[in-house]
Amino acid sequence: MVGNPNAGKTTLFNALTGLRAKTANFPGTTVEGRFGRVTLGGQVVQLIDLPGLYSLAAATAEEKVAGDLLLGLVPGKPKPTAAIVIVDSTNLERNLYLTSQVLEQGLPVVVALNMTDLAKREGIDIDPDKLGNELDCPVVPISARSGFGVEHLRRVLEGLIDPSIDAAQSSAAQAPTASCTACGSCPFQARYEWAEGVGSRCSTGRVAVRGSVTEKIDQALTHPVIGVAAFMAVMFAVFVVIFSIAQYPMDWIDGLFTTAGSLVSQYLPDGDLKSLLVEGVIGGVGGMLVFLPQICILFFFLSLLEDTGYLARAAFVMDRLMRRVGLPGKAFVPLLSAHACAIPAIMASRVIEDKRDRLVTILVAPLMTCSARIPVYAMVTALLFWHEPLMGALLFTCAYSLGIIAALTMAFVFKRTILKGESKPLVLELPSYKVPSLRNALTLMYDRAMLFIKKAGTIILLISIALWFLATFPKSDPPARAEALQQQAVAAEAQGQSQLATELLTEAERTTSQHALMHSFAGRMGRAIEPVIRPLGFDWQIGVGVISSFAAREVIVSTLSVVYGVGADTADENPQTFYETLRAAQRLDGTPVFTTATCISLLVFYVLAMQCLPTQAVTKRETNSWKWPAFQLAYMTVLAYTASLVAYQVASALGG
Amino acid sequence: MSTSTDASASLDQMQPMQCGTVYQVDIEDQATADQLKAMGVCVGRMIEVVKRGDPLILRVLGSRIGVSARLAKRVRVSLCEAGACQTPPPTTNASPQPSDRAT
Repeated sequence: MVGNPNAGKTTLFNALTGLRAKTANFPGTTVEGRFGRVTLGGQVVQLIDLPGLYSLAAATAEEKVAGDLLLGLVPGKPKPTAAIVIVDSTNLERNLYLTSQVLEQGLPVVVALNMTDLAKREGIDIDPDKLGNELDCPVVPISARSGFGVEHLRRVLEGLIDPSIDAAQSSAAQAPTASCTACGSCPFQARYEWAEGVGSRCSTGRVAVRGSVTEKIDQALTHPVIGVAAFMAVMFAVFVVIFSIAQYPMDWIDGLFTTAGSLVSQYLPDGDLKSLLVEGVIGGVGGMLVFLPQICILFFFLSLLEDTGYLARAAFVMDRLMRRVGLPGKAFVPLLSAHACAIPAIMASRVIEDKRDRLVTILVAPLMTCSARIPVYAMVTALLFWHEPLMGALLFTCAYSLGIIAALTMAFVFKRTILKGESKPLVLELPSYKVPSLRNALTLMYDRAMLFIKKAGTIILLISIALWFLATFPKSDPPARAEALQQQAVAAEAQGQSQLATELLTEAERTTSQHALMHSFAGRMGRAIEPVIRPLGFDWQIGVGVISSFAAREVIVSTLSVVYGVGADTADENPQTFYETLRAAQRLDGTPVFTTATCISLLVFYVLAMQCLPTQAVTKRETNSWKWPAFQLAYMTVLAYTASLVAYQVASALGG
Repeated sequence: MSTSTDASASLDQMQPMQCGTVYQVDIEDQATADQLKAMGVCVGRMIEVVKRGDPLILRVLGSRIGVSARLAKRVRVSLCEAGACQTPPPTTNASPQPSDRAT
C-alpha cells in the first residue's frame, strides 16, 4: 500500500486487515511499516503498509525503502504481487504524481480513490472509469472511513492476485510520462503537467476552496502568538489527563504486582528462588510496567491530535522557536512527551525527517524530567523542605527547568559539533482538519504498548535479574546484632510480650538485610566507587543507590531505605520514619550525610543522569546501532557528574 | 502572460491571496528541493500565498503547505493578474506554459 501522507492509508489498512497487524522496521533500516494479513479469494496475502510518501525519488530513507520494496530489492521481502495506491480525491493532481511513479515500477496497480464522500461534499466529481482508462489500471472509489467501496476493492484485489480470474488486469501499465519526456529538463514539471492533464480530464467542479472551516481555524492556530498559546494549552490538557487518569491503572498494576509478590512469597519456601522471583523478576517487571498506562495514554492522544491534523499546526508554530537551538518544530512534541516518559518521546521522534535533527532529539530527550524521576525529586524535597510546600514546589520547578535547559543546551551543542548542520527548513503539509479515528488511535496505542513491553521488557527483565544478583551475592551471615535481637525476641515471646517480640524481629530483619546489602557485590561496588563520588558529596551508601538505580532511577528510594536500615517498605508505608532516618544518617566523622549541599548535588545528578535501560534499548532500536545509546549514556553521565560536582562544591562553599 | 521584472517575485515577497506561476526553484539541498517539488512547488505550478510570515503558508494543487521563509526566498514566481486565481485555473494544461525561463 502506497500513498501520500494524510490520504487515509492507515484507515484503509485497518479496514482491510482488521486488527491482525504488527509494526516492524524494514530489515536494516529504521523505517517502520505495518504488516498485516488479508484473506483474498481463499488465499492469505501479506499486506504491507508503507510510510506516507509524496514521491518515490529516494530522497529520504522512507522513499528509498518504498521504492526498493516495490522492486523487490528489500532483503527478506519478495517483490510484491501488486500495489494499492491510495489517492485522496480532494487533492487528485498531487496524488496522481506519486501514482504515476508507482505505475512505472511495472507492478499491477489498483488505485483506491479515497475520500470520495468528502470530495463530493466539496463539489468535486471524479469519473473513476475515465481515470482508470487514463492510468490503465483499475480505479475503485472508496471511503475508508465509512467503509464504502472496501468490499469492491477486495474483489478487484482478488482478481489481481489470482490471474486466472482476470489476466487482462495484470498487464503492467505503460509509463504514463513516456509521451512527455520532451517537456523540459525538470522531471517534476513533466510529471505534474501530466497529472494536471489527467486530473482536468477526469474530474469536474475543481474549485479553489477558500474560506473553508480549516482556513478559519488556521487563522488562529498558525498565528505566531495565539498558535503557540493554543498549543501550550492543548499539551497542558494532555498532561493533566495523563497524570490524573494514568494514576488509577498505575495503582492497579502496582497492586497486582504487590499481590503477585506476596502470593509467591507465601507459597514458596524461603531461599534464593523466592528472592529472585519476588525481588528480581516481579519487582523489576512491575517497576517497568507501572509506566505503561502513561505511555499508552500519551500515544493515544498524540495519535488523535495527529489524526485531526493539529500536530502539523503545532510543528508549524513551534518551528521558529525551536530553530534557535537548531532543531525543527517537529522536535517539540517528542521533547514535550519526554516529560511523561522518554520512551514514547524517542519513538515519536520518527516524525522528524532529517536524520541529524532526529538523532539530536533522541539524544537529548532523556534529559527532560520523566515521571520516574518524580519519586527521587519527592525524596530530596522531603529531606530539604519537610512540610514546606512552597519551597518544595520551587525545588520541583528548578529541577524541571534544569532538565529543559540542559536538553536545549545540549541540542544546541550537538548541532554545532558532532551533528553539524542547519536544521532542515520546514516543508510541511497542513492537511484539512477532520474528525480523528478512534480505531486508528487505539491500534497505534496497542502497537506502541506491545513494542515497549517486548523490547524494553526483555532487557529490563535481564537487568533486574542481574541487579538482584549483585545485591544478593555473595551471601553473608546475619550480623551478631541481628542474632542478639532474635534471641531477645524469643525471650520476649516466652514472657508473653508478643508485640515487643514482633518489633524486635522486624528490627532483626532490617539489620540482616542492611548487613547483607553492605557485603554484597553491590555494596562492595558502592564502596569501590566512593572515592569517585565523594567530591559530589555522596557516601558509599548513596553509591549503592546510584548503582542499583542504573536500570531504573526510581529504585534509589527503596535501595536507600534498605541501605540505611529502614526496611524496603518503610519509604512507602511510613515516610516520616524514612526521612528521619536519612536526616539522622551520619558520616564516620559524625557529620550528617544529607546536608543541603549533598541533597542538591543528588538532585542535580538525578535530573541529568541516564539511568533508564528501557530508554537505552529504545534508542538502540530507533538508531539501529549501539553506538548512540552508548554515547547517550556517556555524555549524560559526564554531564551529571560535572554538574553535581559544581553544585556540591558551590553549595558547600556557601555554607550548605 | 509575459514575465516582466515587476511581475515576478520570490514567494516571501508575495501578498496574501496573491498567486503566481513558479518559474525557478533554486534550493541547494537536493533532498529539500525534491521534497518541495514533489509536494507541488515546482516549475509551472500555480501557487497562492495564504499567510505571510516565517514559516509562511502556501496553497498549491489544493493543499496547504507550511514552508520556511528561508526556502520561500529561493522560489521565484511570475505573478498572475489580480483576481486571476479567484476562478478555477483555465484548462490550458494541454498547451505548454511559458516556462522557458526554467533552469
